[in-house]
Amino acid sequence: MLTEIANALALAWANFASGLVLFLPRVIAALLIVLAGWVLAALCRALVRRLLAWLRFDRLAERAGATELLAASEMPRAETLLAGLVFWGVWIGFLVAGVEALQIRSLLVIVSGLVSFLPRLLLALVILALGFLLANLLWRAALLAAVNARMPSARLVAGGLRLLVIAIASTMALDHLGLARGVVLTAFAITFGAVMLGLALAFGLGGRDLARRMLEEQFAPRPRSEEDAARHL
Amino acid sequence: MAHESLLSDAFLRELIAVGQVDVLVGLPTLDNAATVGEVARAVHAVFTGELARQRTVLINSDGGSTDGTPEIVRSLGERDTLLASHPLRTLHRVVAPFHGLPGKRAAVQRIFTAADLTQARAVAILDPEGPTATPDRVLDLLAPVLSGQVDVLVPRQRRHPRDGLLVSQLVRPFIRAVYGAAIDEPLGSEFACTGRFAGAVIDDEGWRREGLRPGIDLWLRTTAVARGFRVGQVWRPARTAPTRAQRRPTLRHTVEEVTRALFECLAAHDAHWRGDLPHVELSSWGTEPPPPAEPPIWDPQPMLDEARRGLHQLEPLLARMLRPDTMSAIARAAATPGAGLDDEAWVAAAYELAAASHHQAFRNEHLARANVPIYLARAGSFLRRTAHVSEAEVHGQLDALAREFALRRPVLVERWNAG
Repeated sequence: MLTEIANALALAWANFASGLVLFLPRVIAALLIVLAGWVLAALCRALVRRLLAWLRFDRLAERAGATELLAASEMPRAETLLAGLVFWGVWIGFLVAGVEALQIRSLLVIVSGLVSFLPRLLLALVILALGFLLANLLWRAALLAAVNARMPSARLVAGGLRLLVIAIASTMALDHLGLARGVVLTAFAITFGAVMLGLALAFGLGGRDLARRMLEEQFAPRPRSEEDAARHL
Repeated sequence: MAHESLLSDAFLRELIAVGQVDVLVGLPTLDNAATVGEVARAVHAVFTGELARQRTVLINSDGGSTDGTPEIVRSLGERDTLLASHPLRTLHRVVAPFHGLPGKRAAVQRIFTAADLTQARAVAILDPEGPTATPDRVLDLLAPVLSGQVDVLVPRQRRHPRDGLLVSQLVRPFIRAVYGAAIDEPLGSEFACTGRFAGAVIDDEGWRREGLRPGIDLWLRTTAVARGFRVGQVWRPARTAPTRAQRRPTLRHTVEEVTRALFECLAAHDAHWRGDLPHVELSSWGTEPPPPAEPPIWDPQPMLDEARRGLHQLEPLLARMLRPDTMSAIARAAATPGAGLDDEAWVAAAYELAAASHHQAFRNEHLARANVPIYLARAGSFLRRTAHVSEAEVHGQLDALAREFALRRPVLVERWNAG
C-alpha cells in the first residue's frame, strides 16, 4: 500500500518535474520576449517623443485645441499621450507573443479576443480624437464669427456646436466599438431630435419677435453706425 | 519676365508697340465712372505738359466695371492709354476690402509687370477716387522719383490726431516701432516708385500670401523699408470723406483685414526687423498743409459697450491667446462698464497676438478677428480720454503710445524668436 502511494507520488513528481522542465524554458522565453518588448517599446516611445518634438506637434495640438482639452481632463500632453499609445501598442504586441510562447490554450483564447478588439478600440479613439479636434476648431471659428456678427449669445451658440460635434463623435466611436449599439443610437437620435425640436419651437414660437428682428438685421441694409469704418482709417 | 503670363496676349502686343517708357502711371479701377475722369485728365495734363519730353503711358487695370469706367479713361487719351484687366473672384464682388477697391493687388501686380517689361523709370499707382485729381499733385508724386532722389514716395496728410483711429492706435505706431520707419499713412492707397523697386518686388512671395490681398499698400511700404529702398513722404491736403463708403466693409471687417495684413507683413519681413531696431530716415517733400478742422466728437459709449460684450464672450478664447497679465486687463475691460484699455494693455495685446501669429498656434484670421473687440475697447477709451482736450494734448497721448510700442519692442522680438 505504502509502496503504491510512494510510486504514485514519485510518478506525480516525475510528471511535474518533466512538465516543469518542459514549461520552464517557455516561461523564460515568454519573460524574455516581454522584457525585450518593454525595452523596444520604451525605445519607440522615446523616438516618437523626439520626432513629435522635432515636428512641433505641441503647437499643432495647441492650435487644434487638444492641449486645453487634455489639460482640462487632467490627462498628459498630446505628445506624451501619443508616445504612450505607441509604447503600449508595441508592448502589447510583445505581450501577446509572450503569451503565445507559453502555449496555454485557454489564455491564448482570451488574449486573441483582446487583440482582435484592440484595432477597433484604437479606431474608436481616433474617431473620438478627430471629433474633439473638429469640435474645437468649429467652436473657435463659430465663437469669433458670432461675436463679430454681434450675436447676443455667441458663447452659447459656439458651445452648443462644440457639444453637438463631440456627441456625434462619441456616438460614432461607441457604435464602432459595438457597445450597446442600439441603446446608444436610439438615445442619440431621441436626444438630438428633442433638442432640435425644442430649439425650433423656442425660436419659432417663444422668440418669434426675436427671430424676425434677427432676420431683419441680417438681411435688411443696416444704417451706418458709430462703427463706420471710414472714420477709423 | 516670369510674370508675362499675368498679362493677356493682346495687352502684351500693345505694350510691345509702346516700347520703352520713362513714366508709367497705373490706375486700378472698378466702377469709378464718377471720379476717374478727373484723375485721368490730371494724368494726361502732366503727360502733355511737364512730362512732354518723357515717354509716358497710363495703364488702366479694370476689374470688370459695368459703368463705363475704362471707356472714360480711354476716351481721354487714345494714344498713351492702355487698358488691362484683372480678374475678380466671386468673393471680391460680395466683400470689398477696406480700401474699397476689390482686386487691387492683382491690378498692381499687372502694372508692376508692365513697368518691368517697359523698363519704366518711374511708376505711380493712383486711386481712382483719391486725392490726386490735379496735375500738380500727380507731378508732386512723380517728380522726386523721376529725379532719382527717392525710390518709393508715399503721400502723408495732416490729420487731426483723433481722425483715423485704426491708423493712429495700431498700424502707425506698430510699424514705427517694429520697422523703425515713421510712415504717416501706412495704409494710404497711392504711391510712386522707381522701376527698380517694381522690378525688385515683382517676384516676391508676398503676392501669393492670402492675408496680404487687401493689405497690398501696407505690404509695399514695409517691403520698401525692409529691403533698404529710400522711402520718402509727400504732403497732401487733408482728405475728404471717401465716396466709396457704401462699398467699404464694416469696421469689424476692416479691423480684421488690417490686423491680418499687419501680421502677414511681420512674417514676410521678420529677417529684417528681428534684430536691432533699424532707424529709417524718411525724406519729406511738399509743404505741410494747414491744420484740418477738428472732427466731430463721437460718443464712445456704444463702442465701449460693444467691446465689453465682445470681450466677455471671447474670454475663454482670448485666455489661450494672451498672457495672464494681459488677460487680466482684458477681463477688467470686459467686466467694468466703460473701462477700455490703457496703453500698456493695448500694446501688450497687439504684440502677443502678433507673436501668436508667428507660432502658428492659431490661424491668422482667428487672431485678427479676436483683435476686433480689443481694438473697439482701445478706440473707445482713447476717444473718451481725448474728447475734451486740446489737439496738442491728443498728440502728446499719441506720442506716449508710440513710446510704449517702442519700449515693448524687445518683448515682441523675444516672443517671436521663442518659437
